[in-house]
Amino acid sequence: MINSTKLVIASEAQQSLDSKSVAWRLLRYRRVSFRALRSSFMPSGCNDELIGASLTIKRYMVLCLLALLVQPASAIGETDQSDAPSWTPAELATLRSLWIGSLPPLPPDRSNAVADDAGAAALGQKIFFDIRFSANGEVACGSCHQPQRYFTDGLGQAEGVGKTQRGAPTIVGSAYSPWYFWDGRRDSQWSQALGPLESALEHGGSRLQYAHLLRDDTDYRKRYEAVFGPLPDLSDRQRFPDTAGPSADRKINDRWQAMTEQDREIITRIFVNIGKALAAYQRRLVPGGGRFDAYVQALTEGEDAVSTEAALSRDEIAGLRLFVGKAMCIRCHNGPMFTDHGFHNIGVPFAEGLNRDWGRYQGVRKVLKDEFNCLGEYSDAGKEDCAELRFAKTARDETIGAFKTPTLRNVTETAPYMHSGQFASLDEVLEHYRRPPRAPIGHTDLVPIELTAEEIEQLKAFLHTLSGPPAVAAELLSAASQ
Amino acid sequence: MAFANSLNPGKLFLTHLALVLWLYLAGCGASSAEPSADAQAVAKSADSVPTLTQKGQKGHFMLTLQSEAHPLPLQKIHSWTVRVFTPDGRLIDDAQLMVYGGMPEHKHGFQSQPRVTAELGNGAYRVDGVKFNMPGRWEMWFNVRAMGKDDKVIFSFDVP
Repeated sequence: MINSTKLVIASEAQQSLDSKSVAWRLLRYRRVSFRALRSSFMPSGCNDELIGASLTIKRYMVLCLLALLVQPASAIGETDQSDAPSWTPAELATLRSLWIGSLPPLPPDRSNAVADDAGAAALGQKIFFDIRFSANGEVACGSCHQPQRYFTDGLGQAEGVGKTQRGAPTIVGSAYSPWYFWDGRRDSQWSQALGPLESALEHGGSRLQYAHLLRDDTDYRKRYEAVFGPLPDLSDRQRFPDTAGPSADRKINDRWQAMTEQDREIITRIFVNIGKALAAYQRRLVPGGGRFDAYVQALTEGEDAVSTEAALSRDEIAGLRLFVGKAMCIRCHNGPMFTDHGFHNIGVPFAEGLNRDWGRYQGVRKVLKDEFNCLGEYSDAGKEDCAELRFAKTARDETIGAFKTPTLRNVTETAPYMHSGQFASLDEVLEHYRRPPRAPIGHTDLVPIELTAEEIEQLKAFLHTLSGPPAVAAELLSAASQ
Repeated sequence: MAFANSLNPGKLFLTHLALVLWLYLAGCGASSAEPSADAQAVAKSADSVPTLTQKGQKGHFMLTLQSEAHPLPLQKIHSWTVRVFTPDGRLIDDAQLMVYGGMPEHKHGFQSQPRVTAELGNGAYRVDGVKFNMPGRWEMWFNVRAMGKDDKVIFSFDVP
């Protein structure tokens, strides 16, 4: 008798738990009836059937008490489950649009014939980490784009042989962008790579110096020629000086101008190929997912999976809801790279001690007449591949003071923020968005956003879920394997 | 200028129904301009790609607008085809068109600078360089000059 009663109780308790679980699941979808909820809240074992099963009142009370003792533990778990928000199909579609799984395959770079050539990528990787590609033998691409810092340097204004006026953005996932530099003054990864190499403040070198380095170093020469064909004889230093090229350094520039047009063309071709090799390496640096991506993946695979370790905390989910909703972040930080690849004036103050920065207004004018642009003679693209350049917006009102929307992947790991590191922390960034000031040049695109201190914290919590290492083989993250 | 096509009154009901359904489903903000016979015929021939129809502010012209890409892509430059009609549905060649637009709610224009790049004949014109950089409500505006008249046509639609 006692044994059979225990069995009955156990069975009833299981049924009650099951119904409770179902009721909570229903609650999450806001379709639950009060009656279903009430029965779910009743302690296991306290139902009419058991009362009628010839149990004494005393035994019934003991059972109820035992059930109450057992109940809280399971109820706590269920309560957490109920806090997982339900997303509408439209919201789910939005979340999926941000998900790393929505990142398309690498777009072809038709302006770079060796973009997907393994030999070019290996050559580019070697150059990327080689400090000989600088005026003082101390600066490589990897000096400012440090793999351990998600290919940034932690500085507001990058420092090469001198100090620049803008920050070094991450290059992870940059192959997806149609524009390069904060002002978009270059329109391909390879042409971007050429800028710092010749900048008097960054690498400080010249295209002749780099051409000689490739020609005189046995390994470089072998790698280069395997991809691009024979290097010309550059041993005549009268014809091909050690250092010469378009430069802010007058001597270097004068030597360049003294060369024949044909010789300049020979050297520029080599220089362009350095950029194309660098791009072949850099385009392989694609982002990996963060906890946000695991969350969206779990959502797409069914709600139950969210309760696994992939789930975000309550604050992180609230932050995500703000991100795609009231805080309007998604207007510009959209798509799986969390950027619209566009340019916006958000009224960031000028960096202390720096001149007025016109941003995209000047950037678009530079790229349109850039010798290395998509339509130029060094590009491998056809006219039809250059739509971004051909239809680039130049309107003064919409480009002045505008800067490129940066990716938010790994944003919590890549302070400081904005084009010249004007903001040291995400708190400063979010305060700027909450109460946007008057733009120092042009007009701001921002409008004030009502956000409480708690909501700011939630947004920050969410942004932490976007961190994850690049989805690349470890040997691509250093020069060690060269 | 030439009237490049004649009226095609056939299948009026079905095409009208399809257009109204599209405008409703797409949440198109265009005021419910009555599509002309030609406009309806063009819309019908467009298979599954929706066509927007809109009347000019002064009522001089009717335009249909169709994206080459469906659903409308984000962050990708693509092309559209616009057709110009008289109010009674005759297609107009040799019209001069200027296109611009943006997101009125966000007070910004396109991230690109779309242009009418070619006259395709039969009242059709090619619009290149359209790029939507964020989801939401967008507008495309056309300044139309033809038959000695000017008009402005505003299309409003949602980018998912």
